[in-house]
Amino acid sequence: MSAGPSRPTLGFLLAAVLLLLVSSASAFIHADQAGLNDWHKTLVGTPRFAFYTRPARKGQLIVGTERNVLASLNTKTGDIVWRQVLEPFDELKALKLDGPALTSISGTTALHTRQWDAPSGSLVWDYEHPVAMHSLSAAADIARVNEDVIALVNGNTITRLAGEDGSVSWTVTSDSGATYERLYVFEDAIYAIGAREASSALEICVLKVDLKDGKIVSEYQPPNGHVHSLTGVYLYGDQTTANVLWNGVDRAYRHALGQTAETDELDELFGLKDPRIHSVLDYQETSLIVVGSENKYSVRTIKSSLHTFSGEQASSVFSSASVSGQVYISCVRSGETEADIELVSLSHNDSPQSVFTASLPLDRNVSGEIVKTALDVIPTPGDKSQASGGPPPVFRVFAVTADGSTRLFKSGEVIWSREESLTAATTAEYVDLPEKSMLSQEHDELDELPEETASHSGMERYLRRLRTHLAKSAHYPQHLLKTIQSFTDSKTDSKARSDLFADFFGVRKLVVFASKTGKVVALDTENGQTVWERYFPKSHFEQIETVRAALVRFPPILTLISRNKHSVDVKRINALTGSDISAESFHDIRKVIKLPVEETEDRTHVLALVGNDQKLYFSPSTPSALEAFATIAPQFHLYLTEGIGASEIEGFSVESSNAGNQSFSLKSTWKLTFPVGETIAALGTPSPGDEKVASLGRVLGNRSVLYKYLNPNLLALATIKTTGGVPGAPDFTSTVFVYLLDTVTGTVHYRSEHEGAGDVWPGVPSVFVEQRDNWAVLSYWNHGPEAVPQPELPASTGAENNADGGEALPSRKKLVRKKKRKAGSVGGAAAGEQSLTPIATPDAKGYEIVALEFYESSKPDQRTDSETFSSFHSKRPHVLSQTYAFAKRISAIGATVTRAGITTREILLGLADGHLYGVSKRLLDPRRPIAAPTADEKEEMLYPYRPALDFNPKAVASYDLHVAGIQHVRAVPTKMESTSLVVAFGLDVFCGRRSPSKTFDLLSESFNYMALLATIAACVMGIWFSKRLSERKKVKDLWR
Amino acid sequence: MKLPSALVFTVLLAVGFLHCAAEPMELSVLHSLGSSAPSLRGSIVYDPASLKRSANKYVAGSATAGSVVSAGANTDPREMYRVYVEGDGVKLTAAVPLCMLEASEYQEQITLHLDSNGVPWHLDYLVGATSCEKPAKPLGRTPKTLVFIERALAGTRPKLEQMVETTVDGKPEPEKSFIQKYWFYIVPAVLILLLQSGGEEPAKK
Repeated sequence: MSAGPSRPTLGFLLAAVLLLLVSSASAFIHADQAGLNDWHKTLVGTPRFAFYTRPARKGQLIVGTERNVLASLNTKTGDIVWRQVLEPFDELKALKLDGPALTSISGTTALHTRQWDAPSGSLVWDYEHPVAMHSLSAAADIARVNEDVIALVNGNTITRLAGEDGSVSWTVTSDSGATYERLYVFEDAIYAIGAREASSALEICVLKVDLKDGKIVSEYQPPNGHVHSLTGVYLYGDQTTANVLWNGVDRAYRHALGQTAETDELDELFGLKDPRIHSVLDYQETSLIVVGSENKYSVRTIKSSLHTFSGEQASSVFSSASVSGQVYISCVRSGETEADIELVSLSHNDSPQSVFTASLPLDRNVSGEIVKTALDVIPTPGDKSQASGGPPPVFRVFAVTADGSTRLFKSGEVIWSREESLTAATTAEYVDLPEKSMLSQEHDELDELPEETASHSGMERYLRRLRTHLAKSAHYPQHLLKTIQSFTDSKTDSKARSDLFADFFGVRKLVVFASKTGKVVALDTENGQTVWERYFPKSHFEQIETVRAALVRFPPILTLISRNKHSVDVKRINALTGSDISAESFHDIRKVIKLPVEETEDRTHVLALVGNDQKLYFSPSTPSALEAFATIAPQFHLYLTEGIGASEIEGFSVESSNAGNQSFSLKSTWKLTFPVGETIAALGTPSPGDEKVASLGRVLGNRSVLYKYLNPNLLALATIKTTGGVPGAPDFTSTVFVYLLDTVTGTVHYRSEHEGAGDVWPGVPSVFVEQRDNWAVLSYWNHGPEAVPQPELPASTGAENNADGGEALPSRKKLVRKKKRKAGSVGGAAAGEQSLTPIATPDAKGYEIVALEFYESSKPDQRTDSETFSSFHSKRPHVLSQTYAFAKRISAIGATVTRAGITTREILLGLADGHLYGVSKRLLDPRRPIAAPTADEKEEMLYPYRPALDFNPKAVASYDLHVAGIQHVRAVPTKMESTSLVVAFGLDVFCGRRSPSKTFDLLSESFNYMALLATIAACVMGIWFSKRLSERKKVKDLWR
Repeated sequence: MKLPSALVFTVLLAVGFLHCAAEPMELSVLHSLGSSAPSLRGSIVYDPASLKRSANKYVAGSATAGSVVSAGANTDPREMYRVYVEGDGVKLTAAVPLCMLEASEYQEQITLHLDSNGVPWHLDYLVGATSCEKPAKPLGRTPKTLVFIERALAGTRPKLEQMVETTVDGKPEPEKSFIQKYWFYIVPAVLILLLQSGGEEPAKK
């Protein structure tokens, strides 16, 4: 009798304990969780300039990169000592290191010469050159005289700046029309070397300027100065002469600067056959010329040859360094699996000698050949005695490879490497790892065709299943042990795993980056470690598609799409190992689209390649791919646009012709040319079919439902129209238009204009669109009322974007009536006001974020009365919109994705100040009530409208990390509904997890598993004990 | 001299605009089936400056939408029925599958999108059906062509709170003292207290 009631009581207690333990989970991370579930790679980019310095015996490597980053790297570890990230539009044009002073020239819209303190990386001074905007693309150069900086900018202007504070001593501009790119200071003159357009080639020009007062002394063209480009022009100087050397159209020449009419042919001067200059290496007061002739390279001065390198001349890279009066030259030659290095010592007194030869480990399939080196020779006590057979010097070679990555070799070994090619990544794709059980025998039978299965007898099938279970049971004790271990030690390091299988929560995946340098890198999302990497020469990847997910017995396959000048290469690789599967090349291809059909041979998705000849090609180009496409061809529609900057978008259907071989060609169904002056600024993406929407509608406070307009063909895009010069100019105007298009019919469902909106500055994209489910989010910069175009028609009143398919332009009476009915129609405040009154452009410059949501009707509980959806139907979406001001500069936009789409979405913003920031969709909701919330709105838990989105430091996904230069944000679902995996990349790479609705399905890290087990054990004991008591009591009662 | 010329210009501009605004525009509507040559169907009359819906209408010509079908009998029902709007330097086109037009019983919707100058730049042509399947029981609707004119909506902007001037000189009113703010509570309370205190003490036993 007593055991009965005790069970529910204990069960309730157990549930309460569990609930208490679970509720401690939180969305925001604690300080000790930083770095546990996320990782961050700080990168600098592929170096364009690299210098070694050795202040106080401690080596320092200073680089200036293609991503406009100045950085100092620790030569022992490769870590960043300091890093200065310049803006994307502040293009680094020249960098020079002189003692502790690092001078840079950068800019595209405004040119800056800056001096930095090399040991600390702090800015000493900054000078902005007052130059016209139109000629800023020319290269720049820096020379140093005493402490002063001589800067050549704009192709024609030389400025002398005081090294102390950057004040201008003098400026001189040449108006001869020549473009100068190099500077050389010799004696009391500055020589600028450049070129001007001649009939078929460029003609070298020399400008001589007085060092003291900046007066132009002379400007002339040396004889035989025809070159194809200025990259073949070198400057060479020693104590007595300054020379310009160039690889002319047919021969190489030397011209002594200042000797106007004299030019010498190098074959006569050097006594070599067909010499071509490879490079000129700096060596204190004297330079050294590396000259190639008859497949051999030699190092020499103007007067004499010093050393000839052995071996073939192909792909040799040279660099020099000097230590205690001795000069060392390194020659690095890349082979297939290793690179050969030869180190030569030159000194004033002794004859040159080869001091070191080694092979460096370097796989061409992984990194490509070495394209640039910087040599550092570490002074050793035995250095001076080397000539007499002392120990060889310790040297370090900093090498940049063709893929864009960097590494440091010391005495023939790789000390460290940096995957800087990730900074050139154009796209990334997640790869789900295969389930371990999926690869077991158990599922072999699942992979069979039904006919194959039927061919086995029932007994045989049973035995096979039995074998599978026996094989699996052998691993069970091990598995059990691991499970118990993970309970007792919650911090078991799961990150050290090397096997490529999915984890229980689905947070472990591969993220594969493809870059424009031809590098493909797969990183483990758990720890950021490189799983595999590949280098494809002459490839410029722009797209990756997963054509096969991890299937039973089949590895996942990625397709890499590389665009070259005339062809598109489609490479198929194994996503787990990076090994080649197949490669195809197509000519004159405009766009590559992944089709929602699979071919039957390898079960891979078919890629359709749209040719410029309006024909469709398929990859793999097999009959089975063609057959697979034929099944969807009648319903297949696609749209093509040249993307950002284009003013047209065109829709096509597919026509098949059966003449001979079956082929498919495109037929234009619609073409949309935007009104004059508008060009595409940002494109959304129609909802992918594999993304899940948990709910068809939005339940309102009064239990009615507002049905979502879920059109898979809806495309949100933004166009921009600007007039006048740059922002701030009196005639500058800018407007952003938002469009919702149906990509099957070309119907414009919505078009709104945001006057005064645009990019913050030319070359700084600020218009971004993120489109998901039934919503879109748009960001832009508001230039304020002064950038609003003057109306050409008075009172451009907008038409109500109507839902009922009845009317497009309601009369005023009707509008008033609608306004009165506002309470009855949902979201009326936003949409109604949008159309009724002309909306003033806020007089507050800053970023604005527009939230748009599309519904089937403006009224709740109303749906299109049809089982099918058609793009041709006259029903239009009801669009709600609200705009919020945001105080931070946005550089990229993305959104979280979860497994079933139940969790509230989070809009992920890459911020220019180095944060990945999450904004809950609940804040970017166009239904936030502007007036005091009604009871229904309170019931719906809508936040009241506020014009500004506050910056909440707790919502920074990258917490206190500085994630510089975010350009792309990609999210992917995990097996936990609460959690989405996010990777942000551009310059740095950051990968972490986001749980916008908190981790409701995950126990917190501090969860006490032992307490839970103890509670369960206590409960079981209690039940058992009370059962015994109850049984005993029953027996006693019966005996009574 | 400058003032009269400016005045004349303004007047001319205003007259020109009024003329423009008052005069509805007319564009011809053509149609075709599949790859056949377009033929005249009717015209659209619209007023780019008017908000009234009645200002935009389709004026049927001699041919109806159905006439194309009968001309091209035995055509594929999935063939595209294409509508063209032409005239005044404008040439726009849009299409729907013929079967859907038939299924909708010729309920058409023509939408002209106007740019900031009031010039049509895009055409939408949609029908009142969601599939090619004709309803089992014909609804018997009469063919109807609706014409809509769409301009860009004014996009929403942050509704920034404006500073409100409360006094003539724009300065905020000086803070009131406690008594000034709450005298209407204090006075009745004091009065009640005063009136109650007048009662006599109970007699001692």
